[in-house]
Amino acid sequence: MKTFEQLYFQAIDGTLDEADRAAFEAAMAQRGINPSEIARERAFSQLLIREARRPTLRHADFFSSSVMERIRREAARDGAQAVSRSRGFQWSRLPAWARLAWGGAASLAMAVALTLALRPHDHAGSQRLTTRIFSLHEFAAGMSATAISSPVSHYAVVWTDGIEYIPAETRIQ
Amino acid sequence: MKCPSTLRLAGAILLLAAILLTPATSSASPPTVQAMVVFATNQPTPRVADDVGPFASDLSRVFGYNSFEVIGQQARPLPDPSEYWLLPCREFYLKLFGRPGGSALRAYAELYQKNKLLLGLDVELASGKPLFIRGPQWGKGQIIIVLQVKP
Repeated sequence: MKTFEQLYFQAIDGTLDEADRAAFEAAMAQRGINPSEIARERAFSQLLIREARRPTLRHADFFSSSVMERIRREAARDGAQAVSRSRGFQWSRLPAWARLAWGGAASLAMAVALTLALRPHDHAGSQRLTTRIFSLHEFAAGMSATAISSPVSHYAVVWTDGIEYIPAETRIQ
Repeated sequence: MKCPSTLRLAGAILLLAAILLTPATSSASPPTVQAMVVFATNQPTPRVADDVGPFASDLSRVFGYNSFEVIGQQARPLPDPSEYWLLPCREFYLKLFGRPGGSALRAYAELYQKNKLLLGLDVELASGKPLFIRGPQWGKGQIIIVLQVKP
């Protein structure tokens, strides 16, 4: 037993046999469908079939050879790029020992850079200079002063005697 | 233009090195001359002020004390006007007639206690190498005046 939709499309395609035609017409009458609608649908279907044919290509050989030539060119270019990539430096393709060597070299470079950056700088040869006292004059009565310095010491000293004692309760801040 | 990974790696290392090296060479602040009045005592538990730390062992060796407290200090940048005062505290101050050059300061320094001139000295102060002047006794300790050029 065919459904109404199957009978409908067979009618449009023109493949409806006589046995089913009576049943289809009865079903159409029952659904209130005008038979002229089937004729219109059939005409439209035939128009689509006629116009939807695959267009024939003139000079097909020329287009086909052009397309094939373009494919060959692109394939050759992709191949050359793949070769150049495979010849270039790629971290992931390096063996473990080479990666270790590169890592070591980078670490060494960083260590050298850090050492240079953090080392104390010699400001205009300050390491060679020392504090020196060339002359000394006492102005306070009863006071004496002695200068002590040497080229190898880190400091120089003026040793005084005779400066008046300051009582503990005196604020000097 | 594509850059090979080797060059990128080398560039990154050089950039890092440049970043690390730049502050070390360009961040040099101008040196300062500093006067500091230190009170030295002998304590059962030695205490050393942070500012005295770099030369505390020298002070101990020279003056025989183990505790050092900073009473006052003042610093001025170099180069500075040729004649200027350093007033680390109300009791002691210094007048400097300086001729700064490089990291050393050649100066004639006068040490005053209040309005009284105690001594004058012609001195060359090297950077980071202080001058210690033994001051008077104060209470149970000793006043030490430190004059130094700080890099």
